[in-house]
Amino acid sequence: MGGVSRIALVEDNDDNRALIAALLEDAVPPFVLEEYVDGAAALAGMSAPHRPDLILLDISLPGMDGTEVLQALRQREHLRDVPIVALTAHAMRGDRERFLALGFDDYVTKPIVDEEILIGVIRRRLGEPVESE
Amino acid sequence: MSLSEEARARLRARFVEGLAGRLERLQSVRAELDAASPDAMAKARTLGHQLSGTGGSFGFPELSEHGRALELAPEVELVPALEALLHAVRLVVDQAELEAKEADR
Repeated sequence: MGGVSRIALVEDNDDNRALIAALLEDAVPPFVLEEYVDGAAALAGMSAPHRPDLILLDISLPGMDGTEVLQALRQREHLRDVPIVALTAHAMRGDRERFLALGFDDYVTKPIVDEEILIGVIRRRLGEPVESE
Repeated sequence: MSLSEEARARLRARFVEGLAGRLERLQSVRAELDAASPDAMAKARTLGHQLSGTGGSFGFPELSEHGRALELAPEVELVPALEALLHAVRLVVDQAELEAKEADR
């Protein structure tokens, strides 16, 4: 993949946005981050032809929840094949399978205790080499 | 690849700073539960969910654990779960205030 990857982060929690922004800024090479505080803002910001390379989407959002936002994003032709990673504090047995069945490409749980997991998922989904591999 | 210590400390301080507001919201919801306010239980679970998804990211796994317990608590255990989270948040806020006072000396 050439150039700097653009990642859209849809997350209502300020602290989590700041943490993920810092992680992505410090990554080598760095990512360009677009931040959205809810689904409505994300849908407005990702109108055609704007297409990030990857979307990190919180499940528990005010207004539309993450699964509704996912469905709305997938209905857009230009976003249909963009990898979308669920971010969720719902760590119940079977959640991973449920989110993948809904159409998410991957799943990362919060709190983000092991930052390498998040970065690893992002790099894998972008087709970039993962440091530990 | 991981965060620099400086960035980690800055993010942790920012999170702790915001906890005073969360403590107030938890206390307010505690009062609403006492008053049997119709949406108090949902508010309590939302606050639990928010701390469940953040505390551990900033070095406070106990906040995530208590937040998670509150989010999933059955109705009869909601108040004790809220009290436990309130206590855990208060400890962090008090400790931060103490450290700030010591730093000012």
